[in-house]
Amino acid sequence: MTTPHSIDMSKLKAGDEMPAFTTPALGRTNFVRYAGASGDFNPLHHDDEFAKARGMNNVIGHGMLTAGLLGQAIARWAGLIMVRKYAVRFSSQVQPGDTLTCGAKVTKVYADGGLPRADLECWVKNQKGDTMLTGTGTIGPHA
Amino acid sequence: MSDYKEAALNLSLKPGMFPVEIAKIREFATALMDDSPAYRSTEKARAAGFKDMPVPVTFLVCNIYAEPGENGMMALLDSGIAKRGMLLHGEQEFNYLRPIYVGEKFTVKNKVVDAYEKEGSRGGKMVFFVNESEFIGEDGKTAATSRAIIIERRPAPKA
Repeated sequence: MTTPHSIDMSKLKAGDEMPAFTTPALGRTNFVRYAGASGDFNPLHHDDEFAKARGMNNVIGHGMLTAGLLGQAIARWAGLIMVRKYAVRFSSQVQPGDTLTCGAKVTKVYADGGLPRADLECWVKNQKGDTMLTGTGTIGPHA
Repeated sequence: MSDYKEAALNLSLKPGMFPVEIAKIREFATALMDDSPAYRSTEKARAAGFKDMPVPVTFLVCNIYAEPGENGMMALLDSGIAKRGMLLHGEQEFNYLRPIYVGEKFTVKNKVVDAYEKEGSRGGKMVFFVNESEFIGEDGKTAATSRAIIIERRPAPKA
């Protein structure tokens, strides 16, 4: 369930964590569904022969699929229109069969122009604990 | 200045048009395994407290692939400056100045703002291209911005 503002900014403090969100194992169908939804039809994400010709074992997940899963987890936790900034850096490639766990933690609470703000650090790890992406975010209400 | 940098910074991109459509929002939310009612219809979004049907956090990436020739990332490929199949998405950032709702039409201004290279960890080079996008609403004001870094792997020539 997603609402515009879910979190009580007045109670938020540095160190608070978002409840972890874990996906089911991701398969090629998830990659193809994301390809269709986003329009990103890079064959690296659906064509095993293409991926192998480029030195990979098999197709890999879209980085933006991973980033999108985490972004939505943050939106369900904080409230969608509280997400002011969301930035990610990709560190590893998602393989078919991977289960991803999305996390976020408050690093700082402050006010900007009289409006409450919280900065986040966030991450996605696979079932082995390897980091797939790291990111930062800022949450807070619009004026 | 290296050839690829000059070519990338001089890419001429026409402003894109990005309409926020209901079917795309539904499809995108489903692909991200988010079954929140807010992404299904205006009626359900209003029941959840929204002014209208909103868009998922990373929805604006759909703009990259919406129309050929309008986005820096795709233009790099189409122009041959970067090689298809050797690209990785390195970083992505979104900044929201206000919420975005179904039915809006955005003019998107794209620009490749930087290009640079680093040594690859296994020899060869990594070439980085930075693309910035500005989403301008029908009121002429910027609603959101995004920034993408894509990396082209250029393997060392085999000895």
